[in-house]
Amino acid sequence: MPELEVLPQNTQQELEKLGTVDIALGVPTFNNAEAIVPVIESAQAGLKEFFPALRTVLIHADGGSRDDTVQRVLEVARDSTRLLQVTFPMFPVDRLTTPYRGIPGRASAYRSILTLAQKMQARAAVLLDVDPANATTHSIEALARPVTEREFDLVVPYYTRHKFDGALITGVLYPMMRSLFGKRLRQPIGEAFGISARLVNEYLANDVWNTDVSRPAIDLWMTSLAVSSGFRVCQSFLGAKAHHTRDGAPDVSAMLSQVLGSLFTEMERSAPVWQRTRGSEPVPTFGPPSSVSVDPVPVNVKRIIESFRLGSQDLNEIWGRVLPPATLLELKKLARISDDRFRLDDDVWARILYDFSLAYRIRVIGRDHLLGAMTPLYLGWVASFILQVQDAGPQEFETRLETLCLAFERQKPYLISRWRWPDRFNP
Amino acid sequence: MWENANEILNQAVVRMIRGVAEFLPGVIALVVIMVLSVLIAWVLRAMLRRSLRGFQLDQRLEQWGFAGLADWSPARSPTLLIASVAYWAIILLGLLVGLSALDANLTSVLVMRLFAYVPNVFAAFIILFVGVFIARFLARGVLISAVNMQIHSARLLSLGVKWLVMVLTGAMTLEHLGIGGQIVRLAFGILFGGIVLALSLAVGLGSKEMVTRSLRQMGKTEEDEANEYLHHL
Repeated sequence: MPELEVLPQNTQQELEKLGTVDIALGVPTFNNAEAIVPVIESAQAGLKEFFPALRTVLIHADGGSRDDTVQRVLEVARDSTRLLQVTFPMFPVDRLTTPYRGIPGRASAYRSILTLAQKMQARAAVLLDVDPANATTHSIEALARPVTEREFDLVVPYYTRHKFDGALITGVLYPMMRSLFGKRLRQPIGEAFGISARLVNEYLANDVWNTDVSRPAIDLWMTSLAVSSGFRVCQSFLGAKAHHTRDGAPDVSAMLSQVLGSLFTEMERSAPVWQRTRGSEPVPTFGPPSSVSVDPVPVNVKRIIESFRLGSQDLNEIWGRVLPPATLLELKKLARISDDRFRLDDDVWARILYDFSLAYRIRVIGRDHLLGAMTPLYLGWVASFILQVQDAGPQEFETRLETLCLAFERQKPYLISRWRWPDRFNP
Repeated sequence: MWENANEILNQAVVRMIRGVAEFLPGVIALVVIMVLSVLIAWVLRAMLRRSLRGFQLDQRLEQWGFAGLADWSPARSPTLLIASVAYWAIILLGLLVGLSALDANLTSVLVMRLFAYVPNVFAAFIILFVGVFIARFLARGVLISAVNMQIHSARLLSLGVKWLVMVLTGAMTLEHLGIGGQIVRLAFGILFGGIVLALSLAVGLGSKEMVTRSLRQMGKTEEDEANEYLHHL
């Protein structure tokens, strides 16, 4: 149980007054004064509109904002929904690390919210991200209803996205999670969840909250734990994915390191589970899919290919410690090929990820260096994939994606044999 | 006269025999000590080889970034190198002990000086080991980071960082061993400064594209930025 610093001071008394609830809706914040008001308004409206007969509570977990985030929440929630405000602990490492998404210290925030939900014996806990574009009234219903009415344990958001959007999910997380755990969760990491009481207990019973695994990629850990432990998982359409223009240029390397680090660590933890899984099956999907603009998204593919070529030129020695000669040869050929014929084979890409996961496990080189060396390979795949699907319609895109995922499933025996006999791992 | 000559001869032979008789036990002791040293060294070498092979030292050193050590080792095996070093160290020790048995006065000063020097050698070895490890670690980190930042002189930067640390390590090692003195310090200063200058040029020239991109970015609107970058998550 985390130590909670509550504010205002009567929150403990409020907790006792509230008693048990049906839905606990949590919103973590850290210096989000601009965005918090519409999110809270949507949350309140969503609970009122879709769950008028249920006992609900809004939990605002703040990491010590220096702006007036806390005051604004108090003002907007003053006359309506029951509100609990807590301060979650923000550790120095959280302040120093830039998360690939969301607020710093997200893991601590989630833990605080889930702990309160557990105290109040909530049937469903809903976690929202403080993003007005993506946290709508419909989101509340889409995330909570499968838990309260259909007894699912985890509801993961499914956004409609442009085909170039979310490349890390398309090319790495979705195919990997699908081949490992056999569930076709289209977007395994999300900024919002619907969670059952059973799963809340499971999360809180785990001691991973303060580790390096959970801190940067808590959402990935939450999804993979639920899937690997046999909980009932589904996904809900939440409309088109919106991005903040202020997100700016992403640090791809840092993002990839955080996500892959968590994924590979989770692979180590759940090895007995995924080694027994064969094939994959669809997960229940709720809500109507929405269409998304097919306006072209300008992407500088040439620059991405150059990044790959630079990596191939300078990191070949490091790649040689991880990848077998056959794969290295394919990569060398790819680096020499012209831009218009730049294609990375799906099976090769799958084997690259599997080899890196094994190298991560047996620590061929320092893990940070290993994950950093992965960046040009990932960018190579991105460029190859964009060139293949740039003229594809939605159906063709999904077919292409399915082909990629089947390649991952096809190469799984390769992963299993190398994982079981690491002594024979000798590229 | 013949009697005097005879007596002198007898005395000379007696002195010689006495000398040999005094010298012989020392020689026998030296031989025995050497034979024992060889035996001990041989056993220790066998034990070291077996235990280090069991520990998979060669593979682990390669993982830790000491692949270069294999190039200096017999049969490219650091295990054999360590075992050989231990073997010859025992032999050398045995020789010193044997020499002191032969003539304590002659060897005592030598032995004292040698043993007084051993801590310096030990510290120098540790400095060298740690320095090489840090050099390789930093070089690899710089290489990967520079490649991911699309700096074209990434390899040069990495090499520069590695040699910067290696030169520093070498200078510190020689300082500890008391070799070279002022000349080493001067050479270190020149080398270090040269490497820093080369690195500065490499960073300046290699990252000019990055600087150009940054300057371009400053003139862009938020919308332009959003359109230019893929959202990977």
